[in-house]
Amino acid sequence: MGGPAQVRLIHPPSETPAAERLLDTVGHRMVEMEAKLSRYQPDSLVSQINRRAGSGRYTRIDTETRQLLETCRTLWQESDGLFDPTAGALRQIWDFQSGSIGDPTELSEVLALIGFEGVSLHHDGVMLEKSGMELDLGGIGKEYAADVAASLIREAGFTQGLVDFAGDIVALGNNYTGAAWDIGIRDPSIPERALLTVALKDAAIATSGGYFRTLEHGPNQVSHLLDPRTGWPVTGPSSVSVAARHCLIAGAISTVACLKPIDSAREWLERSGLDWLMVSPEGEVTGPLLEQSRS
Amino acid sequence: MSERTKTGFDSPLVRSIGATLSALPAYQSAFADAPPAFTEVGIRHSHYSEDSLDASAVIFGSRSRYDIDVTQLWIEAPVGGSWSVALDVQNDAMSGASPWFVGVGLDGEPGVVMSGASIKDNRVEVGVTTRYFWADGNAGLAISHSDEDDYRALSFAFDASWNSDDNARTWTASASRSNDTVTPVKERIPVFIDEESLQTQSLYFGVSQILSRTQIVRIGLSYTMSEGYLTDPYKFADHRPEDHDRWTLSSGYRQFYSALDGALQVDYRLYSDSWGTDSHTVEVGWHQNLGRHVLAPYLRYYTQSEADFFSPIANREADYYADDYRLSSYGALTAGLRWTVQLGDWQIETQAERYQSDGGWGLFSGEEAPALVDFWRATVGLTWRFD
Repeated sequence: MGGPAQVRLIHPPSETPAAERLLDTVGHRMVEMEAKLSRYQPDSLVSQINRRAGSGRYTRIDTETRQLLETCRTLWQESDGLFDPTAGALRQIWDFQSGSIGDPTELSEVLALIGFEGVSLHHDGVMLEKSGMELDLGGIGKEYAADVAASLIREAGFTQGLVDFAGDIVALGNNYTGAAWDIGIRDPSIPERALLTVALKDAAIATSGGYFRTLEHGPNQVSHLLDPRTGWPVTGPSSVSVAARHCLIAGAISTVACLKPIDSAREWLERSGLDWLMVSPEGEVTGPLLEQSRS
Repeated sequence: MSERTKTGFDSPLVRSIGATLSALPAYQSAFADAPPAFTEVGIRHSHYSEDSLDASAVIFGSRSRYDIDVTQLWIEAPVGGSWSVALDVQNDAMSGASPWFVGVGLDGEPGVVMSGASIKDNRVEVGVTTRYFWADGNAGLAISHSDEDDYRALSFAFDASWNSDDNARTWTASASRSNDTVTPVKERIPVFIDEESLQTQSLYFGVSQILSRTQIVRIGLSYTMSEGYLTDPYKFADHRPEDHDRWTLSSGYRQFYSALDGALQVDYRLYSDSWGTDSHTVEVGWHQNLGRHVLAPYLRYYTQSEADFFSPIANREADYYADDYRLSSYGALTAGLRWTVQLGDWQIETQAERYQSDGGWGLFSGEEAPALVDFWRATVGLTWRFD
């Protein structure tokens, strides 16, 4: 998950055994998904796909992976290429996992490997057409996992709980006090502090922002959000939070917003029809969620 | 935060993303009403062949009955983020003979006089459907026109469905009207009308409920009213009322068994009409996933009571009369198998079905018609989906 993950269930004492079984199920499902979709695990399906890039060989995929890739393609089209799971090749230059920076003069060679049009997707197989291409589902993986966890909780009959995967959150029902869950949105200038609090019930919220992971390049801290069209870290909003019924939708909308200049980000967010909050690099806070929040 | 978080379903952007997510279990109930994510083009061909009559049942004429070849072509495409449009074209090529009337054979038993030389007829139907999707439902408007040598029909239909807040329940309603014109061909057998018309109107209301991730149940009620010329012009002894009311109660249950990767399907239909016919239909099927293949065997039992004015040899002294086997009391069994395979963006489907009927298989009393039909039907289809 790349960060702390927790699942909380509120239930009567009589349902404790069922709740414990459900948490085990959720845990196993999350491990399963990470083993399949994480590019950081060498035996994962995504890693297999990446190793075969340029070989002409398709890798067999299941329905879940196929639909996630179709969703990525839709997002890539709708965002005019800003959301691009093939931007994983940029790891050769910007490695946020290890904290190292490659030679930025090699960007043009790496950019030739980026572009979702190079992903050949069939009903049960996928192939990356050029050697060196890489798929990275990090843009939707954690949010999808949060939605799956929430779905498992609902199917098991539990109506109150909270799924929090490193800040990608799904709230089910009310909290212990019978009120909506209070979710703090981080201040991007002081990440340890909550900028404001939003009440969430039967909904999801996801936040994207450059402050989560950074690298030093010269005198600057650069964000982990990279523009796949230029290969360089972006200088858009400091953070964008979006609330929606599902975490994947919220996360996808907020991620793309963070890759755009402020004005374009605002248009994109308004186009989504969802409630959002945007923090500019200057610290200005705007959006419908601001009116609904408490400081 | 507002009481109800915005879904964004009114946004074409969110609906576009949701359309691809809708195939995943975690999102299925949420995005049930997104337009199709792909354009779909398909072609299907069916061959229907009725068994020849037993020689003992035929007084005069050919023992061969109808063969029908049906070819269907369709295309359905999303338009923007909230609309879809579909075009359907169907061609039916019919040949063969049908019972003209039932008389008394040399053995004193009812026997069939067939319609003489084999007829050939062709019907073409073209229909267009447009559908609009919104946050909690969708609605469609369909227009179709059907044309053959002796029959024309122009039909309109409107349907709409709404989802409950939790997306576990869907309400559906529809209404339709058809204006038909009958101009029977006179060259084959004597026909006593030049041109007649009839109108049919229909209403349907139903609800489906998701009981759990693996179970869904549905129930629906329909009412159909036809007025005008309802007699079969090609039957010598046939005079039917000029109105016909029909009620149908339909229900279905589906359950998926994850351990078997298969699903059970059970459907029941109850029918009753103003001509005195009641019927029951029960169908049980199983859908078995086998990798990219799906195998679906099914068994259907049908039983109906005879219409008030039916008799094996028509009583032409009565106000209304008919010897058409389709209005008699009988039971029927259908066994079929459907196989589909997904190959990339292509889907191939094949289906074979055997139907057999018998007066003694029904649950209702009545005299058996001598010309009950048995048939085979085979279907092959190809569908292509693309962005």
